Amino acid sequence: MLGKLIKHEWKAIWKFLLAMIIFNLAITLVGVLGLLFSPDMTASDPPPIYIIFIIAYVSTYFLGMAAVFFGSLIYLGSRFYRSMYGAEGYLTHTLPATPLQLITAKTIVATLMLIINGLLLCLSGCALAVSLAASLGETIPWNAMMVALTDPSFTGGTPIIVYIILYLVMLLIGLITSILMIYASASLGQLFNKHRVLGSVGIYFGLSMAMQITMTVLMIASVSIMVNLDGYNQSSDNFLSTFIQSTIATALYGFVFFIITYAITKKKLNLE
Amino acid sequence: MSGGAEMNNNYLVEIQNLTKKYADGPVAINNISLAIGRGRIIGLLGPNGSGKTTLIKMMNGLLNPTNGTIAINGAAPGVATKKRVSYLPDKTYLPTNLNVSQIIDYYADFYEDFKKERAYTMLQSLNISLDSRLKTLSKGTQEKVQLILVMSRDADLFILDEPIAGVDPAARDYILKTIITNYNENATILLSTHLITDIENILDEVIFLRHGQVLLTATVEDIRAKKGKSVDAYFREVFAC
Repeated sequence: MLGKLIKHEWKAIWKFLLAMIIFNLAITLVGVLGLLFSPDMTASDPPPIYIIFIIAYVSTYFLGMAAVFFGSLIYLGSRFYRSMYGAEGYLTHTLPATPLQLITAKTIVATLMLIINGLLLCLSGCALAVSLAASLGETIPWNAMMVALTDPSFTGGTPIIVYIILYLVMLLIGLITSILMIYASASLGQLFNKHRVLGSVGIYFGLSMAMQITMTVLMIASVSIMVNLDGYNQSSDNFLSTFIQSTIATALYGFVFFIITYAITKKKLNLE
Repeated sequence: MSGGAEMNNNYLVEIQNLTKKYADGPVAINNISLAIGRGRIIGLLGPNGSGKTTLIKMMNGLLNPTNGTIAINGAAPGVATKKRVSYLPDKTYLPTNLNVSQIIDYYADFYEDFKKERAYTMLQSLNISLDSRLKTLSKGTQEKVQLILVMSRDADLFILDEPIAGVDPAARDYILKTIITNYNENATILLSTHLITDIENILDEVIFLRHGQVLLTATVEDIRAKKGKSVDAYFREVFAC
C-alpha cells in the first residue's frame, strides 16, 4: 500500500517539480552562455551593458532559487492541506491505508522533491563556477580541492569531507523536519472551526519561532558548557560536537512534528 | 434491521450506544444503537442537522465517536472496513487536475473490488469522455463520475450521502437505476437524502433520525400498511415544523 501511495503522490506533484527543473535549467543556461560568450573579463573596463547584465542576472538567480525553495515548501504545504483536510480528504481518508502510511508516503515524496531541487541547485552552482573560471581564462583547481577536502591538517584534526558529509546529513534531517513542521501546522490548523488555513499559517510561524529560539538556546548552552570544561577554543572536536547536537535536536523536532500530525490525523480528523 | 440494542453476528453493521459530541457544539449523535442486515436498500432520513452526515462519517472512519462502537463485518472502521465499504460523500471530492481515465486507474489501483469495465460502461451511457479533465466538467457531471466510481466496486456496503441532490431530475432516474443494478444481492446500500419521493420506490427500509437519535426504523411496506401513507407523506407528518 505504501508503494501505491508513493506512486500516486509522485504523480500528483511531478508536474510542479518539472516546472522547477525547467526554471533551474533555463536560468543556469542563461548564466553559462552569458559567461562563456562574455567580453574580456580581465579587461580594466568591461562594457557597461555587460555589467548591468551580470548584476541583473545575479539578483534574478538568487531570487529565483529562493523562490524555487520557498515555492516548493508552500506548494507541498498546500498539497498536504488539500489532500488531507480539504474536500480531497474524503478520498484520501477512505483509502484502505493507515494514517501512518498516508503521512509517510507524503513525507517521502516531498523529501525527494526537495532533494532533487537541492541537487539541481548544486549542479547549477558548479556549472556557473566552471563557466566563470573559463571566462577568466582559469581552470577549477580540482586536485587542490580534493587535497583540502581530505587532508586533516587543514582543520587541525577532522578532514573537511567529514564536515561536508555531516552537513549533508543535517541538511537532509533539516529538510524532513521542515516538511513535517508544515504538516504539523496544517494538522493543528484543521482543529480550528473557522479560518483553518490562516490558523495553519499562524501556527507555522509560531512553531518556526519556537524552534529557532530553542535551537539558539541549545547552541549557547552547548558552547557555555565547553567553555566551562576546557576554556574556549575553536577546536574541530568542539565544533563537531555542537554540529551533532544541533542535528539531534532538529531530528527530535521532526519526530515531535510527526507525532502531532499522526495523532491529529488518527484521532482528531474533522473534514469540513 | 434493528433499532434496539439486540445484536446478531449476521448483521453487516452493528452500532452500539454511539454518541458524537463536537467540542463546542451540540450532541450530533446521541446514544444510538442500530443493526443493519445484508442485501437491503435503506434510506437514512431526517431533516438538516439530524446527524445523518455525522453518523455516515463515523461509519467511514472520518470522525471518531465520543462514545460507543461501530462494527462493519465485525471490525471497527479502519483499513479492513475501507476495503469493503464504498462511500459517496455529499460533496465533490475528486482531484480536479486528473482526467476521468486517470481517476479510474486511481480507484482500480487502491480498491481490489473495483470493476473497470463496469465504470467504462456507465460512463459511456452518460456520454462522459475518459479524456475529460474533471475540472472542465460541470458540478453535476462530476457528481455522476463520483457515483459511477463508487458503484463500480463490488463492496459489501455502499454508503451514499445525498447521491441525487446535485443532479438534474432527468439524471436522477439513471442514477437510481445505476444504484439498484450495480450492487450484488448480499450488499447493502445506506442512502441519505432529502428527496424522498425520488427514492422511495427503491427503498426496502428507512431509518428516521431526529436530533441525533433514531426516531424510527421500519420497512417501507410496514409504513405503507400500518400508517396508510407513503414514506414521503409519513416523513412530512413526523417532521412537520
